[in-house]
Amino acid sequence: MIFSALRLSVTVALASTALVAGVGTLAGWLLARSRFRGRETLDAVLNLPLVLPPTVTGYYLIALLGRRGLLGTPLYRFTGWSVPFTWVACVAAASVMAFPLMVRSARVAFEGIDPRQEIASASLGHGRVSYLLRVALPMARRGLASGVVLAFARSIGEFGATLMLAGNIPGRTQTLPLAIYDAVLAGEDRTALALSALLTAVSVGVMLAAGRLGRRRA
Amino acid sequence: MSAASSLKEAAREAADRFEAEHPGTGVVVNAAASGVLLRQIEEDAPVDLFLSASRDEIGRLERAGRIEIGAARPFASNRLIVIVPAGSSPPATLAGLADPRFDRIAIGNPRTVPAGRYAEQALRWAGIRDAVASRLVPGESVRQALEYVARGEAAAGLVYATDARALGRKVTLGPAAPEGSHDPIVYVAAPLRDAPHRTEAAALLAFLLSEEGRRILARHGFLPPPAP
Repeated sequence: MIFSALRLSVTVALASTALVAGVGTLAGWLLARSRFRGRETLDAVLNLPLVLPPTVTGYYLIALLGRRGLLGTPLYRFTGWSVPFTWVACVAAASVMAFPLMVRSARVAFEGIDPRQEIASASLGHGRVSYLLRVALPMARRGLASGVVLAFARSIGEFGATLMLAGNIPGRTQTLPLAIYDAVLAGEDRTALALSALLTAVSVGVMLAAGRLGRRRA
Repeated sequence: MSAASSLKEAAREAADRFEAEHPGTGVVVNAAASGVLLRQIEEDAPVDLFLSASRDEIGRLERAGRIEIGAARPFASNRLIVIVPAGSSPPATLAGLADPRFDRIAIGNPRTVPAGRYAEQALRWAGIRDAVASRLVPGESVRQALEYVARGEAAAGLVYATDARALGRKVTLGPAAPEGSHDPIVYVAAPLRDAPHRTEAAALLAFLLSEEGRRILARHGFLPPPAP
């Protein structure tokens, strides 16, 4: 049980971090560079998971992805498959919770770049995409990297929304935080302690690795 | 009063009646899975009266010296029943749950929810426990298992007959687990030895066992406790 929870937690955290890193960087870029109507509203909505209780976010995810949810209904009708109680549900919950952290980091990182860099890049014949890939991304890498670390940390620690959307099925959707919760409720304090120590070790390891990565790149 | 999830409404109604008869006394009902309530009590939650959906939890507290031997009283019983989301057709028998169309079967988490333990016993009795093992979805309480089915997330569930009544329109009732397919479902009430309000706890327990208490439980679908 301990091993399957660890493997699931790491898989889910890696998958949701990859997803969030890609989409979150793009969203941060758009929020930092583009001026469009409703930009601040969009920013506020994207940040909601940071301020809402995870149970509320989890409930919205059920309303959206459940078998009778807004997207879940057609999905189930056409594929016979639904998100809740699968590892995809763990990834969805972790991603939504981690997304704002990545977007915020990316937005701040991109906003910190001197606008003259873009003018200089344009004078050398680079278009917007080329500027993003060759200038902005490398310059924002530290901010982006810290966003990725925060997103990973949030993902691996996700509990509330995961419990609501993915349930607590040992071997399938029971991540480390859920396994700890289960062990505590069942009165298995030794297991709870072992799992907590394991999660702490993984988290410290990730932070150390991220710190090293940050220094080497800087 | 810490009450098993399935007792939530009945316990609240009994508490309301008790309050009306004892002006100045307020009863707080804390409903959760019996195993969770057990944990809270072990961690010194301020509980006067514990209503468990199984003798197991009471036994553990007796062994720990938290409940006096002989103080616990069985006060109700229940049945386990198959439910499916409203509009879908239930299996004819318990063993019919092996049909692959029941791709997810909601039960209480057997580690903390007595209803889940009874459900596992019944599935084993029907000879399909291993066949459906990978399809079992454990809920944090029997009420969550019910909710999974009511919402259509699970294609079937095993809950108490009283729970199924609580969400009557959202679920369709199937066969009940036959008598003898699982341990008898006995609800047991016990005052805690170190209860902050011992006198009131004794009075509330007496009320629960009184004619009026039994009527309230019966109105919520609970059966009388088995004869000792």
